[in-house]
Amino acid sequence: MIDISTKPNKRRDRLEIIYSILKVVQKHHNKIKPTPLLRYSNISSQSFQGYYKELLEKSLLVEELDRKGRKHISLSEKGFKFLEKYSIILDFIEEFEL
Amino acid sequence: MPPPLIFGIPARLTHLIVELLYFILILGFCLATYFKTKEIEELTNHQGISLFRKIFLFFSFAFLVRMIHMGFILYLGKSQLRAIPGLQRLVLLVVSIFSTIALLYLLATMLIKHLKKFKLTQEKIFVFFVVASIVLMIPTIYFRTQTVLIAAQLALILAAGVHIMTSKHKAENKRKSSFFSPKLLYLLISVFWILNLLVSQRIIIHFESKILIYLASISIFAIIYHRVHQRLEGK
Repeated sequence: MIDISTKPNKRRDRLEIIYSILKVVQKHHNKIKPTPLLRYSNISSQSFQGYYKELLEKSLLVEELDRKGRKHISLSEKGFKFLEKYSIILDFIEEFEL
Repeated sequence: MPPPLIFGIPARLTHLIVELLYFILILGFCLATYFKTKEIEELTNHQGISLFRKIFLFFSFAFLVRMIHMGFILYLGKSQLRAIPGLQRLVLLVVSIFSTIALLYLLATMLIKHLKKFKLTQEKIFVFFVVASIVLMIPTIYFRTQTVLIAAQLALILAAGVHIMTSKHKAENKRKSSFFSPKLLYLLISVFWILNLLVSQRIIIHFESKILIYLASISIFAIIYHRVHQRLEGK
């Protein structure tokens, strides 16, 4: 199995960023507001908006409103599955030189 | 005069059984590879994975039409098949389109690193491949022979071969997890597809040669499926 943290590869940039965004949400007990998520994701605001929109569209993340009407972000079932399968996906991409 | 026999069975029936078994196995491996990788494509929307999957989808279609064609040849005979107006052209058209698209996806998968620079969407790639395959199909249909198709597809394979040769040096630095590099497997798929066309054109007619080609083709698809399965099951 590939060690994800120590395997830098430009081809994996997009996947790595998605992984790190989802991982931040998971580390915050699957409930985080958009601003801290942007801060912890360590990418520019503009990039974040693009990825955030994509992750919502692909249903990897879900937006929820609490009783006070504040927006929270959580991982969907698909989001958890992505985290679970991430190393397998990287392994697959490496194996078939994709 | 009694019909010729192979293993004590009428030759035509033996050929039909062999074709059917071959088709079932190839289709099985192609579809198994395609569906096995569905989840990771849905999760990641990764361009390389998407191109990889489409190779097997379009080869499934190409082998399906090829099987129908071979079935007609074995059931009716080539002369009777030619007597049905338009049938030969229709079969050629469909085989030509599906197989060329499959080979173009295969080439694109091999060139994925360069393709990513152009930031093409999957839809644009598909439209481009359909247009390219239609352009290649026109002389095939006009001359009513697969020779032009085989020549065009050989040119694509040659391009893939050149790419493998030029990128060999870089690949040496990568980890060597198995005997066949993925690019070599992609190349073998395309070479054996051409051999399949030669069999269906009856350019290769010896039963033993046909069986060897079929066994090798099945083995290549089986190796790829095995590796896909191994990776996705995390073994």
